Amino acid sequence: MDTKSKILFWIFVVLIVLSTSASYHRFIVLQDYLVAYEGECDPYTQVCFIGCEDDECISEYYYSQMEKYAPNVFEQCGKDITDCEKAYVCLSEDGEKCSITFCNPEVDGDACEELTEEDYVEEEDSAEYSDSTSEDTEVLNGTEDTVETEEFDNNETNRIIENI
Amino acid sequence: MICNFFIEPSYFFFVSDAPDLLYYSHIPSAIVALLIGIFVYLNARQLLLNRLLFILSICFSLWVIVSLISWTNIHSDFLLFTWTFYGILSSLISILSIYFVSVFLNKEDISFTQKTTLFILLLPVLIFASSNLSLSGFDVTNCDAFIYEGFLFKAYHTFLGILAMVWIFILVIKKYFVSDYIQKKQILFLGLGIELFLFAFFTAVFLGTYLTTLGLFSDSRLEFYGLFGMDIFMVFIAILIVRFKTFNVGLLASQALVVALVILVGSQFTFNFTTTSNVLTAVTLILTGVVGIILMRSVKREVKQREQLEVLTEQLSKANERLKILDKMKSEFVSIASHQLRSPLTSIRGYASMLAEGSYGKLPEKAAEAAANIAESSKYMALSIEDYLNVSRIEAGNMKYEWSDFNLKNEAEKIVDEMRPVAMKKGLVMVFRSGCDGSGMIHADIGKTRQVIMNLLDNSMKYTPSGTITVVAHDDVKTMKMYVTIQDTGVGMRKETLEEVFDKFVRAKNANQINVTGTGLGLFVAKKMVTEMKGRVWAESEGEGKGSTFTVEFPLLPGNASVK
Repeated sequence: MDTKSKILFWIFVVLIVLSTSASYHRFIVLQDYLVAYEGECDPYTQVCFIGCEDDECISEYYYSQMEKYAPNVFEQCGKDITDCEKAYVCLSEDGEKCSITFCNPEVDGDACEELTEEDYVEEEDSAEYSDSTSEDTEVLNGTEDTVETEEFDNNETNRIIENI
Repeated sequence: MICNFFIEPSYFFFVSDAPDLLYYSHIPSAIVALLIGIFVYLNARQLLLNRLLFILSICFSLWVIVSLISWTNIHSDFLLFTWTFYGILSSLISILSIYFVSVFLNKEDISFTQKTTLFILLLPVLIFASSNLSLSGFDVTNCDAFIYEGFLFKAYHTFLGILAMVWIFILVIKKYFVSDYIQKKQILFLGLGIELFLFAFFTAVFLGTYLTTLGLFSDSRLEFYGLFGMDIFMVFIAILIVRFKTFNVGLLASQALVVALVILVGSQFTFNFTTTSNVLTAVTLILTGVVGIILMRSVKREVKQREQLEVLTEQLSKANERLKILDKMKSEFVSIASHQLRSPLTSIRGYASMLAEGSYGKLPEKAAEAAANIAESSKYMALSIEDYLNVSRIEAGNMKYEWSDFNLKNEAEKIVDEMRPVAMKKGLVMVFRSGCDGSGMIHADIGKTRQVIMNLLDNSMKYTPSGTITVVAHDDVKTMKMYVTIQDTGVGMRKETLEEVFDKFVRAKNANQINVTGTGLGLFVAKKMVTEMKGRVWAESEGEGKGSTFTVEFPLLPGNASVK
C-alpha cells in the first residue's frame, strides 16, 4: 500500500471512530432524541386513534400520539413510563419538545374514533345485554334444542330493548 | 427508555417470541460468511483479495448483529446507537463489494483515484450517521425507529447499493469479453454470486423497511429473505475456491460439503425451541461433525496419495521418454559400430581360414591350429555382430521382409540336414520328423524363417551338452496352423526364465556355465521376426535339467490344408 492510500485508510478509520463515538455520545450519553408512544385519549371528548388489544381486533382501545424529548421523559419518569402520569401530559418544562397528536379523520380516515352520548348508552346496554344473555345461557345449559335457545335469546333481547 | 410491551432479551438478542425466520435467516448466514472470510484470510493473509473478502464478511456479520439487536432489544438508547450502523455497514458492504470485484478482475490493487472516489461516496454516510438526518427519535410502542429514519439518508445508502450493482455489472462484462475460458468461468461465478447477494440484500432490506415506514407492513421481516443472498454468494465463493483454487486456498470439495452439512444441521438450533429437539440436534451435530472429520481426513489422505502418484507418473513418463531417446541413440551407435566391425572381421575370418587351409603355404601345426581358432572365433564374432545389426534394424523399424509362399516342412528338413554335421561334431543326435496333414505351405519371408529356425536350433545345440535334438514339423488343419517344434535334452529352464528368455540380452542363469559365446539376442531377434511375420514362438520346459522345447507357429495357407 502506498503512502497516499495509507493516509486515506487512516482518515477512513478516524471517521469511523468519530462517527461511532458521536452516535454513542448522542444516543447513550445525552439521550438526545425524541420518543413516541401512545398517550391517553377519551373518545367521548377527543378524536382518538383506535388500537387493537389482540390480533383479531376483538377488543379495541383508544389512544393519542405522544412525542416527547427523551431526557425530559427520563427526568420525569425514569426508564419506564407505564405508570408515570407526567409522561402523558405536556408540562411547561417540556417546552416545544412535546406534542400530543390526536387522530384526524381527514388524514387518518378509519383509524379514528369519536364517540357520542348515544354511543355511550348503546355501550352500556350492550354491556347489560351481554350480562343477561350470559345468565340465560347458563340457565338453559343442558337443554337439547339449541334452536329454541336462540329464539328465547332473541325474544329476551327484544323485551330488554322495549323496557329501555 | 424501555419498550414495556416487549420481553427483555437475554445476551442482547435472544427472545422466545421472536419471528419465525429471524434466527434462521440471520445466524447461519453470518456464520457461513465469517467462516469463509476467516478461512480465506488465514490461508493467504498477504493477498489483498483475501483481506477484502474477510472485511466484507465482517461487515455483513456486524450488520446481522445490528439487525438482531434491533429486532429483539428493548432499550431505546442502545437500539438507536446500534441503528446508526445500518447505514454505515450497508454503505461499507456496497463500497467493499466494488473494491473486491475490481481487485479480483484486475489481479491488482485499484488506483488511488478510484480509492478516493469510493471514499468520497462513503463520506456523507460517515458524517451524517449520528445526525438527525439519519435518525431523530424512537417509537416506544413498536420498539423501532422506522418513523424517525431520515429518508434522504436511507435513500443515499440504498443508492450506494444500486450503484455497486451497476458498477460491478459493468466491470464484469468488460473483463468477461477479454478473458480466456477458465477466467470467464471464474468471472461468471463471482459476478453472479455478488450481484445476487447485493440484489437480494438491498432490495429486501429497502423494501422491507420502507414499506414498514409507510405503514403497509406491520414490521420489516421481508428483510430476512435478503440475508439468504449472502449464503448464495458464499456458495459461489466456495465453488471458486474448490474448482479454481482462487484466493490461493487449497480446499477439497468434501471439506466444503462437510462444513456446509455441519452448519445446516447446526442451524436447526435457530428454530428448535424444545429441549428434546435441541438435544437431538446436538447429538446429530456431534455425529455429523465426527463422521465429517473422519471423511475429510480419509479424502485428504487419498488426494495426497493421488497427487504423489501424479507427480511420480509424470516423472516416470519423462524418464521413459528419455530412455527411448537413449535407446535409439544406442541402437544407432551399435548399428554404426557393427557395420564398422563387420567389414574388417570378414577379412580376418577369410584370411585366417586361408592360412589354416594352407593357401599361403603349409604352416606349422601349432600355427595352423591358431589360425583355425582365429577363423572360428571370427565366425562367432560375425554372428554376434549380425545379431546386433538385426536388433538395430528391428528397433529402428528398418527390417525388410520379402514375402513369398513356401513349404515350411521342407525348409525345416533342409535346415536339419545342413546343421546335423555340426551337431554330430558336438556329439549330439539331430532328428527330423514330419506330422503334417497338409502340404505345410506358409506365407512369410523364407530367409528370415530359416534364420529363426537356425537360431532356435543353434540355441538348442549350445545348451545341450549331450543327447538328442528332435525337430518336428506338424500342422493343425482345423485351426489352420503350421508348427516347427525343436525339442532338446539340454539344461532346461526354470518357469521364471521361460517368461523372459525372449527378451533382449537375457540369458538363463546357468547359461554361462554351459556356453560363453551367447549374446542373449538370438531368441529376441527370432521372436521379433516371427511376430512381424504373423506367427508366434514360445518355449516350454519342465525345469532345470529336463530339456527345453521351442515351438514356432505360422498361419497355414488356405486351400492347401487338404493337400497331402
